[in-house]
Amino acid sequence: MIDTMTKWFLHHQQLAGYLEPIMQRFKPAWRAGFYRAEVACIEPINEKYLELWLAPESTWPIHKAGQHLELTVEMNGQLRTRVFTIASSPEQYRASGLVRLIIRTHELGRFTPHLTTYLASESWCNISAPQGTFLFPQRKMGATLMVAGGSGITPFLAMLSQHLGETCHPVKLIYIARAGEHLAEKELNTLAARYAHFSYFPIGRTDFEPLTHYLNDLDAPVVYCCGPQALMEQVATQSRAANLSYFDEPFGLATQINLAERTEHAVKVAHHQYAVDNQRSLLDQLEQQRVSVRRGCGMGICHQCQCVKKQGLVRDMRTGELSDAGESLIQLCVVQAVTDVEITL
Amino acid sequence: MNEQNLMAFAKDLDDIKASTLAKVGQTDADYIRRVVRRQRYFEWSGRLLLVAGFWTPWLWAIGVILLALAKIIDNMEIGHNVMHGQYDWMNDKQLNSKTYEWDIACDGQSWNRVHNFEHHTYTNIIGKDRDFGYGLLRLSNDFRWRVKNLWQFVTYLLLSVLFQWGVSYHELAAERVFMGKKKANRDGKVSHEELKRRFFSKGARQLVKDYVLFPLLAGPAWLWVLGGNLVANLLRNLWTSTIIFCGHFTEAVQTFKEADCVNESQGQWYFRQALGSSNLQGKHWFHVLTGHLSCQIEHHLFPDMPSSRYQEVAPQVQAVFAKYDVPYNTGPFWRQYGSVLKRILRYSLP
Repeated sequence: MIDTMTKWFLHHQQLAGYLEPIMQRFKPAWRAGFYRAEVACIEPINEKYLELWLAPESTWPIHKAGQHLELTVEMNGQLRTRVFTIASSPEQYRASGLVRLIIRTHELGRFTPHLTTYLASESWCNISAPQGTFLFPQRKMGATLMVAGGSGITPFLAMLSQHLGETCHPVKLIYIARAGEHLAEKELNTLAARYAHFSYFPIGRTDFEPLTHYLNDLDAPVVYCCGPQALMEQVATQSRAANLSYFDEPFGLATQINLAERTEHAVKVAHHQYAVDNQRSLLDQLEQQRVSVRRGCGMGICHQCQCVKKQGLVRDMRTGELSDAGESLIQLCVVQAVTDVEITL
Repeated sequence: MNEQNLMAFAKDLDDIKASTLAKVGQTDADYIRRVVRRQRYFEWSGRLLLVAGFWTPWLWAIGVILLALAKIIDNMEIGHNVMHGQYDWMNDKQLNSKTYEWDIACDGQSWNRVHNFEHHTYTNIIGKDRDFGYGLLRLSNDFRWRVKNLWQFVTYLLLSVLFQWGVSYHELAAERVFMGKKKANRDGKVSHEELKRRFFSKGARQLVKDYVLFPLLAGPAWLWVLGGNLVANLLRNLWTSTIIFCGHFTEAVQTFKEADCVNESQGQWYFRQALGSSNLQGKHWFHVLTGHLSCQIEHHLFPDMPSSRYQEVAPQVQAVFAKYDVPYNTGPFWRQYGSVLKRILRYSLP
């Protein structure tokens, strides 16, 4: 009722949207469709990672260990959103009101290197409700083998902290990272000392043996993997070969881009995929494949072909500028795909 | 201008655009949100004061002016510019060109389609840009003189008074939708049924809001509120019509033929935009109330540049125009408006 009245007479989708600019005067980052969170602490862990503790507003639905959230920060007037796994347990949230994100900073990124500039202690940002199904099984179960690569350790930190006390079956964590770049070592060592059924093996990037190597003392474990694509593919294949249940959590990693070379990419629109190259505009190529796209001027003026890019990188043909990896608006007539792209028309 | 000069001309304008867009950021986001906040304050205080007409007409009069200001700001500085996509870079759902809707009879998405595409791509091309004369007025020799042009000044005044309905009817291409007239060189992306539905549903909601809902809420002061809304809408109509006419129909503004835009280079396109627009001079508040259509030339050169930057780029654009000897049509409001009235009168005769 209120939404319909708002739509008809105040011309906004939600009343909150109509009131938003006024409310922001009193409550920073108050935004329709988002939860607010206050920054409790933000500090670097080492050169590559930083730790961000957030205090979500009280209406935020509590997460389950292993879930992620969308973090939205206004950077120089622009709302930028990235997805991060919550690296702390629901138990910790109930006790302290805080959630922890461990964030890998990409030097050339448009989000992570600027976080310390735009997020100071006591500043506000937006988060989404927790999402994701990469969860530790709640019911009675057997052994578990976890394989983490690099920043893929984050969901396991939440899971271990939450669930180690609830199970007596063996849990083994193989954590692959460059020497000296293993995160939360102290935390993991403490857990290993406290729980006899938990064992922890930090190893170097080249030391990862075939999966069977780690199965000796585990009886048909469920395999969990989170890390770079190549690692997950390798673990998935080997798990299937050993007839083990396998779960993973993919997350995007910046790809190397060479614009001079002609490359082919997939464009996902709703449930369809279309093959495009990185040489011509997305609009031309989608039209050629008879996708129903609205065409306007074809030169980037009229915004008729504008749509939402959910993920992937595109390049603005006029300026050569690369887009964000996350969600943003693009004009199909003046962009080329640089990676696989997902859009909603 | 020869092709070489046109290329250099385009390059100079592209440079202005690139260097300005590089600066766009927090100040521009803060600016548009500040404008939105003022719009809300004006609207709320205006609507409250209308009720006070019950008590003294002076407060009612102030209420009318505040409400008219709110509607003008909503339509011009926020609606028009947001729907051009000028603030899409903010990724803010409330300021997005694809979802924004405004406080005017014309359906936002219908307007977005016709205005951004037809008018901005084919500015002042007779036969393609239907905004030239709105199909009602003869404003150049490109149109054959008809007897009805004799009283087109009265037609113009009526159009101004009912401008929001005029825009709504016109942007819908209503003569085609309702009368079944066809034009060969246009393909309808949206069905006539859909256009009709939008025309009636948006129009009806606007009527219900201003002339039923708010008067009802005011109880015994309903007549003051109804009257206040009527006058506020009238003031808004007169203002927007006047400003828009000053942007395209001053005497020096030129028209083009369909052949002019075939295989047009960027330089030619810029050149056509330059000759097809005229500016108004004034103070900052005046620019804001015109939705920066006072910087019509800059707006037509860079339609998706945030309006918060038009005043800043105007002198740079003027300098480039001077360098290439391109006329930069600008002047104070009364002079430009006088020139518009003269043009309407001039072409009412054969």
